[in-house]
Amino acid sequence: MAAVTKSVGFMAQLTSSVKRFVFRASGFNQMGLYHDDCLYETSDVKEALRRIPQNTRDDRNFRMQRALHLSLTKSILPKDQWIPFEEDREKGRYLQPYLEEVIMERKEKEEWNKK
Amino acid sequence: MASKLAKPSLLRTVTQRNYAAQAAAAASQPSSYTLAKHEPKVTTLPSGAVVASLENNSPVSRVGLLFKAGSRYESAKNLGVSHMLRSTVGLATDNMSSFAVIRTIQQGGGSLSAESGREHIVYSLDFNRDNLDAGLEVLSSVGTQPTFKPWEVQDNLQRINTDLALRDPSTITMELLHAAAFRNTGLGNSLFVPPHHLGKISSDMLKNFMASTHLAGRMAVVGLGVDHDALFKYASSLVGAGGEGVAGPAAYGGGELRHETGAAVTLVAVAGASASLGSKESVALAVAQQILGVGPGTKYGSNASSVLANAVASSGGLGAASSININYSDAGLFGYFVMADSASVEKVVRGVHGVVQNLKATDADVKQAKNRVKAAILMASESGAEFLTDMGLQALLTGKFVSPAEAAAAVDAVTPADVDSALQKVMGGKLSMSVVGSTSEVPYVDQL
Repeated sequence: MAAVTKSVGFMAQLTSSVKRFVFRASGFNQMGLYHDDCLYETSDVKEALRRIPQNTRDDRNFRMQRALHLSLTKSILPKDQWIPFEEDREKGRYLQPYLEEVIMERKEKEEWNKK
Repeated sequence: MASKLAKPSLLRTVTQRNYAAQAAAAASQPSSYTLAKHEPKVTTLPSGAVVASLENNSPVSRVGLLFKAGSRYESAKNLGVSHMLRSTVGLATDNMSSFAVIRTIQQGGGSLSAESGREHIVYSLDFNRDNLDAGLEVLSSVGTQPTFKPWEVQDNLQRINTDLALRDPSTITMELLHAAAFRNTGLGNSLFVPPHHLGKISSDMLKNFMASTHLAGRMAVVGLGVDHDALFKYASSLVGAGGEGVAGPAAYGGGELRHETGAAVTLVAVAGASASLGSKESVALAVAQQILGVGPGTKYGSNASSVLANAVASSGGLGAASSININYSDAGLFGYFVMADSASVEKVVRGVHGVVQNLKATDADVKQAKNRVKAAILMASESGAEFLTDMGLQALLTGKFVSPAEAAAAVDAVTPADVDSALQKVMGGKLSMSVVGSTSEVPYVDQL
């Protein structure tokens, strides 16, 4: 995200470094996972997952298999394969547009049902 | 409260209520109302779109949105896309979710449906006249800007599978007859997705088909029970791109297609090239169709007045026959349809074919048949939905509207000589045939 790295304001820099700290501390990148690989599979997420293109779903399944294997062998990826913050920002939110649509549709249904 | 009654103000209002005067006025008003009778109106937009409407004072308004987007406009690469298109109506559009489409229609007490043929697709809306605007908004959204979200299109395949499974053998026979008659030209295309394209018609293909067929110049908007000016405004607001779009050439070639199923009942359709919609010959052939017979007019009747029914009876086989008369904008098919016990199908087909080939229409036949054609035209106009589709197809394909009464009047001009010559022209040309069932018993066209 260019906006994050280029912003010069004090608050912007602070949020950016807090975000980076949280990202590093959470550690899912060391297992080769993206942000959206770690979502709880609520019914909304399940529906969004159903809608993503097959290749995106295949990539996700690959990352999860790899992470499961790492967990089984109680290890993490070599450091050069860790997912950097920028890549996670760029590619790691692959589910968000679909998820937003699912949530919007659900809210619309709830709104109609109130009538 | 008696004391209050005496107050002048109240007394004044009582006198102003004028009950007596109102009662007198009510008595002088007519006890029944005759609503004005309206004539159908047809206008053409500068873009080429045709707007036709008839105000029938009904509390339910029906509006149909038609495009020249039937199966004849498909190519080998996107065969079946028109079937997908009619089946995906009601899915999300650019400004409404699928849920909103359905709920808005339900809430307004309406119904929205789509139907497509070889030449057209019609999106039709029945709605309470009072809330028509809400319905029209949905109609234009569904008919002009569907989104075709890939997952919704994918989920919709179940409906396609049901459609395919529900085709009865007579439908398949007619599909094969078109494929045989028009070969690889547009009208030969099936109304249904071919098996090798099942699940392969993507949302991009649907979008491209929409873009090449749903154009302003290929549109007709028709209304029943709506104000013509309002409908005209609505039609003008439907922004559509200009341009010609895809052409769906059709040329009669003729041929035979047989589908063996080993069934105990065999269906045979035989037809020749006939007249296009609205031509003089098409009227003569409509009369010829009624002379040959289109099935019993009374329930469980023996159909004794039908020439074909008599031919089946005298052939010694078991079966039923009716005549086929289909008109498209630039082509047509006329012939007969036989459904017979597989063991005796040969006898029945030969018997029926001989009769159709040698038919000489008498004055009495023609007079009787004319009455039936007129009755068929007028009875079809009784149902709002049928009337709307008929009006829409006329507006779309011919650019005008001939009312049922006028159409019935045109039938009067037909003479027995017209019928004979039209029939000779059809049956004298190259014939097409399709068979579904036990094909081994059925003679080929050149053996008839």
